[in-house]
Formats: sequence, structure tokens, C-alpha cells
Amino acid sequence: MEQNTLSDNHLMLQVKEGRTSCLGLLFERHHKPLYAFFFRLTRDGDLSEDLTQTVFYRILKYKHTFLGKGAFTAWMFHMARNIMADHWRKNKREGQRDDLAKIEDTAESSYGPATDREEEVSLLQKALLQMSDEKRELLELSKFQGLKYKEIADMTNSTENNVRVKVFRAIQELKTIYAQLDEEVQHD
Amino acid sequence: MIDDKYIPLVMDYLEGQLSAAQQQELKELLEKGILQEQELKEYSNMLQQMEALPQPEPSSRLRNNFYTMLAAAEAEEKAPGFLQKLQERLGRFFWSGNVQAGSVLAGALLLIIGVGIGYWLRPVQVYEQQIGQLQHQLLEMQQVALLSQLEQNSATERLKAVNLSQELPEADQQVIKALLNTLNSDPSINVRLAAIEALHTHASHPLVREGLVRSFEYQESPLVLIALAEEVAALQEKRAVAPMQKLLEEKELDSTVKQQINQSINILL
Repeated sequence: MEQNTLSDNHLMLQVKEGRTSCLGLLFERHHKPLYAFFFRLTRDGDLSEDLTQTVFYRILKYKHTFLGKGAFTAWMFHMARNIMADHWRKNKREGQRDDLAKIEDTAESSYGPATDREEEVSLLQKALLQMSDEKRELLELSKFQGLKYKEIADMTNSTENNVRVKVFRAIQELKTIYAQLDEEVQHD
Repeated sequence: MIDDKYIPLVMDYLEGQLSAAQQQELKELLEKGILQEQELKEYSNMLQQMEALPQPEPSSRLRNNFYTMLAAAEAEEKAPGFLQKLQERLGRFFWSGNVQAGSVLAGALLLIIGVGIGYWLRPVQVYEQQIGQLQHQLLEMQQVALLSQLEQNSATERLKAVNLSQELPEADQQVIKALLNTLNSDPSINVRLAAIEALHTHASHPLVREGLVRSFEYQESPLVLIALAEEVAALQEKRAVAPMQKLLEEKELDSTVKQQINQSINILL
């Protein structure tokens, strides 16, 4: 129904015109995917909540830059990427240490995965964490958040075809790391 | 290692978007051994595993922090500086497009200014009563101008009228009724939303709360329903719980509307 599906762009244009309360509806629609984006990249719940909040703060602050031409989600994830990059720049050394510590945590969880499915999830999460930030982000945007290759290409100053190739290479790498980790587990 | 030139084809295969021609091309490449079926299946499995990863959930802290920030941003917008406020008021009165009301108000203002000058030149007490009367007349004129503007065909004019009503130091029953009527029957969603804000300014009037509670049954727009649910929660209007529960039971609502209504009900209970 038309009235039940007010588009994101329509809502954001309302926010731009000063109807700030419409941001609430955008928050309800997008805070979970945004949180998931940050969480899968950082594995830190508190930090991911802070970064998600920062995205909405910046949406409000820079609402005048929204032109309504492309999809709202592409514009939002463009901001999210910048916020993630800022964070990584600021916390480069500590970030790396944290990541390593978290991989260890997952690997040596006191109880260990109880089922095959849990083990699979845990291995895949570990494999994702072993990839470079850039590749993880690419998989996150294209596969988890469902952004179009064209939208990612615009964000990363690349071409659509180039992004497709990079995404494929990232899937390839993920598969290799996953297989290695799986083998290590079998040996243990 | 799959050659870069086959990657678009492989990606289309993995994403289930192969055209008939591409299917044929893939078949040939598999037959020639340039691509391996087993390898493609492994990539496909990898993607399925990724899709099945559990979705992480934020805590309630995120929502609380967001709405605190939103409330602060809204409050900041609603509190413009003194000069800006004065400028806006004068602007709205004299350049609102409603020439008749504008001229009447201009006349009344000039009269008040005249009386004000007299106030400086003459003994005080004689004019105090007159000023009181004139202020009362000005208020009445503002209300009349506003009521006629609410009847305009143009949504922009009605929006201006609704916003103007927030400037009134007090609104009489007629103005409140007109605003409630606007909230329930105006064809423009923006005007209805503005009416909720305007009614908030006059929340101390007994008709306002009752009108807001009753308004739920007239609304279809998700935006208006959300704003209304937020408003009754902000006013701590417990009588609104029943119509909101009725809405949840009877209507098929947008999930965000449901969420807001549930949130408001929780606040009120």
C-alpha cells in the first residue's frame, strides 16, 4: 500500500526540510543493518552501537548534502564507511590488537561450539576476521547489505566490473581461509 | 585460479542471474574444463553459509541514545534566537500572502505602537486598560485571520495558518476545534503533522488531549500515526492506550508504526 511504504528518500527529504522527527522512521528501518555492518567489521557490540549512533548524528548534521538522486541506503552506507575508516585510522594499533584478541576469544571459547552449525558459524566468523578490512567491508556491503555493485563502485571510486571482480576474489579468499581453519579443527 | 574475464559469468551464476546465452557459455566452459563444477558449487555453498550467519542485535541502549539525540535536535530547532523569532513573526504576519489579514494586523500594530508612544508622553494609568483591550482585540483578530486561512485551498496556506497558531499566546475553543478538524480531515499529511505540533503548544486546553485521543480512529498515514503516538506518550495521556490497542488489533499496520504504538503504550502503562 502506498501509504505504508513511504520511501526512504521521501523521508530523508522531509528530514532535510526540517521535519526532524522523520529521522525516527529511518532509524527504525535501518539501525539493525547498520549495527550488523559495524559489528561484523569490529566484533565489538558497544563500539558498533556508538558508530551506528554516529551515522544518524551525521545524517542529521549533513542532511543538506542529501540530494535524493540515488538510494538513501547507498548514501547512508557511504557515511558508515567513512565513519568506520575514521575509527580504524584513529585506533589503528589498538584495533589490530583488539581484533587479534577477539579471534583468540572465538577460538578458545571456554565451552567450544556445541553443534556442527555453531562450529560452522564460528569458523566462518573467524575466517571473515582474518581478511583485510577492505575485503571484509566489500563482502559486507555487497553480500550482507545487498548494495548494488554500481553503488559500491560510486562509493569506492571504482567501476562496477572491478567491484564484481574484487567481490569474487574476496569470496575466493574467504573460502580458502575457511578451508584452512576447518582443516586445523579436524586435526585438533 | 579463475581468469578475471570469466568472473562476471561466474558471479551471475552464483547470484542466479544467468541468461540463456550465458548458461550455454558456462556449459561449454565446464565441458572444456576451463571452469570446474565442483569449485563453483563450493563458492555457492560459501555464499549460502554467509547468508545464514546470525544477524547481530543491538541492545536497547542504541534506541535510547538515538531518541535522546533526536529530541535534543528537535528542541534546538524549535528554539530560535529572539531576533530570528521576531523577524519570523513579522514576516509571517505581513508577508503571509493573506493581504487582508495582514493589513488588519498591520493597522492594529500601528495603533498599538501609537498608543505605546502616547504611553511615554502621558500619565500611565489611563492607557493601561486601553492597551489591555487592544491586545485582546489583536488576539481576536489573529484568531479570525487564522480561521479563515485554515479554510484556504492551498496546502501551503493551511500549513502557514497551522504554524501561525503556535504563535498565539492563547487559543480559544474555536481555534482548537479548527486545529483538531484539520488534524482529522486535512488532505495533506504535512498539514496534519503540523497540526499535531500546534496542538502540543496548546496542550493545556482541555479539548486538546481529548481530541488527540479520538484522532487515532481518523488516521491512515503511518507518519501521522507515529507522530500521534509519540505525542500522547509525551503528554502522558493514558486515555490513549485503549484506541492504540484497538488499532493494533484491528488494523494491518506498518511495522514501524506498530513498534512506535507499542512503545507509547509501554510508556503510558
